[in-house]
Amino acid sequence: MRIDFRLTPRRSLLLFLLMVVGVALFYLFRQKPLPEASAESIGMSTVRLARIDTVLQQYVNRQKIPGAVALVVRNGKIVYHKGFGYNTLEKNAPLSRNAIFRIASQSKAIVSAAVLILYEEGKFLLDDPISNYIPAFRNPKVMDNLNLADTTFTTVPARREITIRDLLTHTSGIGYAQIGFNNAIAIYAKHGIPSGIGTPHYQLSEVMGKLATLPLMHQPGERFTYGLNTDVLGYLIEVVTGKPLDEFLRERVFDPLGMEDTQFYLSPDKAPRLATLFAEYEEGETSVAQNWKDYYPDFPLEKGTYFSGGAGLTATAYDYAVFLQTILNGGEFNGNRILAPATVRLMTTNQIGEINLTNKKFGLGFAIATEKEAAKGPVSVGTLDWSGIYGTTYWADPQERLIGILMIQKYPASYGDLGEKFKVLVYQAITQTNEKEESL
Amino acid sequence: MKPTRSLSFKSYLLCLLLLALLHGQLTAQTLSEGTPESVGMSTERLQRIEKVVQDYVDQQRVAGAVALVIRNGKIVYYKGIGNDDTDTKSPLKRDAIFRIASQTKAITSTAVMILYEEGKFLLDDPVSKYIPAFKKPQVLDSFNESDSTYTTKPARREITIRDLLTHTSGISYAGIGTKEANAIYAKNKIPSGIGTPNYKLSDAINKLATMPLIHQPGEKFSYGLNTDVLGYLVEVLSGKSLDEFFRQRIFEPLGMKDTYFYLPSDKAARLTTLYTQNREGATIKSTAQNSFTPDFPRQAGTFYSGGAGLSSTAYDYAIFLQAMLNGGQYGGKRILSPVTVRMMTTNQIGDINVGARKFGLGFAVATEKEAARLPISVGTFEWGGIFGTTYWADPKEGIVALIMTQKYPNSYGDLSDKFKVLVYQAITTMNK
Repeated sequence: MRIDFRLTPRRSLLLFLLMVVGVALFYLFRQKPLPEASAESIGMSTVRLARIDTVLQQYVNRQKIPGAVALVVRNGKIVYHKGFGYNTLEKNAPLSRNAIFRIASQSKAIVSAAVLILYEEGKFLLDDPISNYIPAFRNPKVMDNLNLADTTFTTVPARREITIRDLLTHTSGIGYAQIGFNNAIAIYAKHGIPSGIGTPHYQLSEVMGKLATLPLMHQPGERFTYGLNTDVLGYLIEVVTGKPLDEFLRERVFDPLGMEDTQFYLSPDKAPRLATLFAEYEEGETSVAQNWKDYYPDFPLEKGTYFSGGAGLTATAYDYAVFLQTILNGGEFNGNRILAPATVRLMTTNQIGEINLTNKKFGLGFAIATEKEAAKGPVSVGTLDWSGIYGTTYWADPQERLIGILMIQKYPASYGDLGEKFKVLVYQAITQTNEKEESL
Repeated sequence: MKPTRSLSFKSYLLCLLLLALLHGQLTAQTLSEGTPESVGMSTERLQRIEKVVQDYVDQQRVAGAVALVIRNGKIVYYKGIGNDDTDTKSPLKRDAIFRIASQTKAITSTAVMILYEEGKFLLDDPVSKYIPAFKKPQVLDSFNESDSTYTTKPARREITIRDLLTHTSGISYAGIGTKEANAIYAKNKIPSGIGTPNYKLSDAINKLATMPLIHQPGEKFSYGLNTDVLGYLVEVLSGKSLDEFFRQRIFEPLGMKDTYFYLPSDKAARLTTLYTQNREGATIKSTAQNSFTPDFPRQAGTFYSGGAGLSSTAYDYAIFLQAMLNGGQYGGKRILSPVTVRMMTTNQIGDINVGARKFGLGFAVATEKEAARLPISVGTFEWGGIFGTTYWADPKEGIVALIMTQKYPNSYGDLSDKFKVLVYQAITTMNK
């Protein structure tokens, strides 16, 4: 029997439909650049990972947290990625693992990476005074006496200028608005310096110009003081590149790495994915976070103009994992390099000498676990971490090639120990530790 | 073509089956005997152990001893030497059951870490979160020797679970603690954990919680009843008796068939005779004194002392130590993650020292100084029991070794360090 291969209209329609189904199937089952894999294939235990479910569900049931997204990556493979609990007070909508979170201070590592992208282009040296690029910071003053009654103060001249490295390591003496220590809170409040969160319509140049005139909390380089340093760095990027920070991050970090769900302000099509921000204003009473003065919990839904490098970004757990995997990979992901391994080594090496953050040191944008911290456990020496004020937390362990991310949106909150417990639960699921390798 | 194809398919299947079996073998490997030469040791040199121990027996320094040496997972030496009963001259069998006393601590610490892995608590949680009687601890300020009265001041912070695991809480020992603690604990009838089988754990620990600490939490290493508190913590968190928890989560999974607080009647006969020494230094049988009877493991007790209560064989305890060296698993059964084992065998007490050693979570850990003093490697973890049992596990050399005697007090405790020398001098090839 001869088969007729001629393309009839009927047959071409069939062929077309087959192609459509094929393409649809491809997109449906296409593995993301961070692929999923069985726990056992990368030295972890599925049964033991399920303990994460038990504990997170317990925290949801006890109403300690409304919901959470947990993500674990090992050796470049996702072994755990789940949403728990709810995204509404009425508990009628589950929290999706693709929800977009206000990652607040988790913005800092990304903006630090962006600064180092420009450093790699020879645009500046890390020990350059910031005033070379933002002149308002010239001749800094250090607070001497503060009268808390009327927030008047006297100052002494700083012994040296603030450097870009000071800003990357939070040793400049710049404090934090709202969450800093009292002196900084009072002075920054009086001068209208925002924390970087919830004030979408401010202008970065204006705020930074004002911040530059305010006294430092201590001499540059003297101590670690968590502060608005990374907001200054965000502005530095704008000054050096002539581009708004959001544009620079998109072109040089998010697009190359395929971080499709990371941004300052959400486009309308992504707005429904923003996780609800909850609050526990009174212990045990969970509510939806309220507007307060000029602070809006839903600031990411605005068409904002204020790009806070220290606290402004929103992202998914998956996207942030991509960023951290890039760091663990020595600066590249999925064939796209944003930093050289030598620069990643700088970022992940102690930069603050004898200064301590309890048992940690600080690199350029990350805290780094010392031997003491690794003894306290369960992380390895050299593990990078930080977190965001709304209840997001992450770490990346170069030794175990392990990334853990836990994202919650509740502030203020009283579930404090869950982040540490999540670490314990992830590490106890390891059945095979990695052989010691050369560092990054 | 066809037969060949089907054959290759069959051989493919066979290969898969063999691989699966091999995999099972590798992950489910249990202790087996091997020649010393197969694991880089010398049979001839190992025989020196027997010579030295026999010498101690002949000089009546000890009645007998069981010695067990494992290297790289192979038992290369396992012998009973001397007598169980010096009157009848019955030999000490190598599967004799010993009162392992403080060797209980590492097992209780492991139980605590099993619950830690389930996210039940964090190591830096105050213990008062789970045992409220420990809230607002007091530290001893002044002590009146004549009537054991004392004054206290508030502790600067609460006792944490990590403090208990590292003996830095400030809790002391009954009987063998500081002079002040011995007096205060005696006056308040705080049991040492040994020889009071009919006490109740909750009573003892809640009473202990009201006693003053001998120093600020975290300040010093003070060997104390910390692990008894942890045993009770395991009961509180698991809702099971410590005995039951041990059995279900440690002994049964690992196949430790001879480890008990209180021996079943069919195993009671295997309990070794306990010795002591008289004023002249001669080895004599230990007899019941006050509330203490050497027979306590044969009673149907209710007091499960996490610090001192267990009895076990050299072989069973070696299984436990091999599970640690294996990163938390033995015979295909995992009780802990390798990460947790790393934490347990890493210095947790900062600049504080225990002789030339540091302390992890339940074990002393050898420093460079200790590895210079004795032939063991840096990172060797070890402890012993008051009745004359000693063990160590050396991750670098793959060594697990135990020497078990039963005599307290004993003026010839140097045998345990000599045993270390004898084991290491038998190594002919060092691990990389």
